[in-house]
Amino acid sequence: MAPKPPEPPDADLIRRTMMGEAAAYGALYDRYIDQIYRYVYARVASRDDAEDMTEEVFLKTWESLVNSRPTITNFQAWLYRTAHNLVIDHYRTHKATHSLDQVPALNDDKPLPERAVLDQLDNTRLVRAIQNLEPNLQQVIICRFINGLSHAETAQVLDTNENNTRIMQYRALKKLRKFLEMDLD
Amino acid sequence: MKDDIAHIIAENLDAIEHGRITLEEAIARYPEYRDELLELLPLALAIRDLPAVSPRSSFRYAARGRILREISARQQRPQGGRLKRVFQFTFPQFLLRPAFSLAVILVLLVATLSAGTVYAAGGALPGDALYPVKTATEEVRLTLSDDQADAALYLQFADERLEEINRLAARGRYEDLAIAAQRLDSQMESAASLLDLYEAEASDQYAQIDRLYEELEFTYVLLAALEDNLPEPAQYGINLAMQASSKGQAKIAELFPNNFPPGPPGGVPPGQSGDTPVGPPEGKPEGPQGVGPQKTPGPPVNPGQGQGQDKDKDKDKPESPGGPSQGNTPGPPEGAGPPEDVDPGPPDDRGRPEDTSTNPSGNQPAGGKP
Repeated sequence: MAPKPPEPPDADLIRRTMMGEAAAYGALYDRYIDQIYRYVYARVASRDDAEDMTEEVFLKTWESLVNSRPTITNFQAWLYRTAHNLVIDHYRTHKATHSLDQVPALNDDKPLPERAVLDQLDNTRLVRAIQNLEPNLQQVIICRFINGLSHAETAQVLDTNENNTRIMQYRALKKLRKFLEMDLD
Repeated sequence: MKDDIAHIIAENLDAIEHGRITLEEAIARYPEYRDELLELLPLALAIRDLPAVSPRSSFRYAARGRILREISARQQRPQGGRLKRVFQFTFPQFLLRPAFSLAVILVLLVATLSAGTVYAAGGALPGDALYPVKTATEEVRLTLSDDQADAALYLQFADERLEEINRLAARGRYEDLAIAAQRLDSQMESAASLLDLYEAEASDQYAQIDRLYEELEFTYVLLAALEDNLPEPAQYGINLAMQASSKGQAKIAELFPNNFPPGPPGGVPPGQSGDTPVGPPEGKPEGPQGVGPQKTPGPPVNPGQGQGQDKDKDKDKPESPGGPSQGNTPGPPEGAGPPEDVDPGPPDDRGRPEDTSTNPSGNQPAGGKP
């Protein structure tokens, strides 16, 4: 079987998108849909909202690309920041607060494997604790541990430096630990 | 102190993540921070081990189709941005959803356009005054049908784009080819995504797909023959149309590998194009159960048979964290921009100060600011 050709870099797809090639934007969508969806879902805790907002992230980003023609040094970070802004707007508009009991686990729609009922309970507590963090600490945890971004990539998403990212990561883990202990009590 | 432990946590997590040390070794390295490391490192690893969530396949493909359709539609109506912003301030969000917007277009079409206009628009070509009416009518039809029916519609519209390309080429209107080519590309992508999603139903469209495959091939060969004799400005549209045709063929070959084996673009090697512009490529084998890509085949007993090994059956499987783009930190799109003779987007929408959602400064992404 012939090796798969290398995927074009983001910059090339962005340039072609700006020239009006819809398929190039389709390729960017395919590349980032999973991680943007995961990011939004981890923050809004609703599959329907996450789907609506993920779609909106990609539409708004396309609008920005063709209308404002920005110089984008990191498309991934750009998408995350668009997603973050929409999440903030979402909470501002809906003024929704999720109590610990309303927040589903990240894997809420997956069939439970035989042995994992107890693990599932732990996961649920963990996810609820993450969703009770302040937005910026939540972002660090989701970028670093759920989407597997490096410190450098996370720093770009948060528009800060790597040093701050490490400190925020520490603060987030400390708070999570505290939430989990309170939940146990 | 806080900085120290923050860096120690980060450093050890990286080392564990890359398999350089174990959790126990990390804790043993810093006995003075033992308690904190014991609390926080396993917690970080537990978050990393949370089951990954992936979007539903139906959402993934439907949203992709909607986004690309919306992009094509907006590229066809460059003045739409201003009107939409007025609506954004006036109506609740649900009124702006694509389905509702297009339903409104339908009502407006019925109310304002005579049946004769819509009929006349059916023969319009890109660049004609009535072409936007034709594409708007297509959008309405897509909105009013479900995803499965959309696959057949996309195939039908792709067929129409090929017809347009052929007519434009025959009239020497090469500058308008790019519009038809981009719509062809987008509509083939959407059709392929939906056929892939509803593969059981794809057999219903087999005859349509077979005919389209041949027309894609014919168009490619026709354009290839024209390409060398045209001035450079005309070649831009020709090239886009050729790319869209060969990509369309490749998409079909990917979906039905037994019936449409991948081959050279256009299915005919360069240099032989004048001999057999129409018809199945020489190398096409018989399909499963003897159903092959004859000129007008009936539906195969199971046209999708044999594709199982090649297709990705694990779309719903969670991917590894980070997705396929890990470590992808591209540089700025230096020089990124269209050629000077290509209008990349609606000029009225660019840099409008009141449009906060489209980020006129270019320094912040779209979406509201916190």
